[in-house]
Amino acid sequence: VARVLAFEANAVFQDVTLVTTSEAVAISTPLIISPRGISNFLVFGWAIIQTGANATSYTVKIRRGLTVAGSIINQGNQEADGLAAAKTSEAFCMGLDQQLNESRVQYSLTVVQQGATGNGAVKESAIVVIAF
Amino acid sequence: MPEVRSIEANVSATDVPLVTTAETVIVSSPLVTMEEQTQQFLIIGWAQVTTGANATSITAKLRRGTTTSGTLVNEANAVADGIAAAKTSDVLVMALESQANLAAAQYSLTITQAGASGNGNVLQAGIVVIAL
Repeated sequence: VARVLAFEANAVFQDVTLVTTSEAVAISTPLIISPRGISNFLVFGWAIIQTGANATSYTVKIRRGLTVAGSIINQGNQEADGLAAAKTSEAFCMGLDQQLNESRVQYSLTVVQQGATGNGAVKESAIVVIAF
Repeated sequence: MPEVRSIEANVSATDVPLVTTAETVIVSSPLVTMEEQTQQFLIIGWAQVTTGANATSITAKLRRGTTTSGTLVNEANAVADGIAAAKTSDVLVMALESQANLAAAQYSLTITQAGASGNGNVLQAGIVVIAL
């Protein structure tokens, strides 16, 4: 039986600017102290996204660490259905990661627009990590 | 490291009408007993909404208490992408906040239509409160 070993969450509602087609970190988890040598981490993220001019889709990713250079733990697919430039939509994603012998781990939710010539914004977002 | 101290949830499986542009409580959590003087609460709300005639967006809010006058704990952004009048879509919202010196906390999910001249309907909804 898998048991919850740790639970961390963060939520913000300060705008994070999405500069045209650059990937930006919307929110990061607090530091998680990995409770044993091998841990599974279920990560889910949610964001309200206001797209910029000419945006055709966006991609929401969950990455290890605090930057856009961290390893991606979900698939990072573009979402275009129902999306219109300069409108507000919501996105949700989940990832499952396993880390070995990492005592301190952290995850970030990132967003990148495609086709945008204008800046967008992440209006509010949240991220939850469950270690088991 | 935060741990899950308690979890409460509630769902609404009966239709809740949305009278044109009036904010409506869709579902409220049970009381969540506080075990510490100060605790964090992660609140997750979800609803499946059929919008009324001429609706252009919907706003999901998480509020303290059981009425539309409770303190807002998320940012309440209007979501317009994918929203069309008289169509059914789903909305997810999350928030994290601290409360102190209470016997118990309680939260509600509310929905407001914008631009609607006809009534909408919330077909089903759920709210989860996780006390950390």
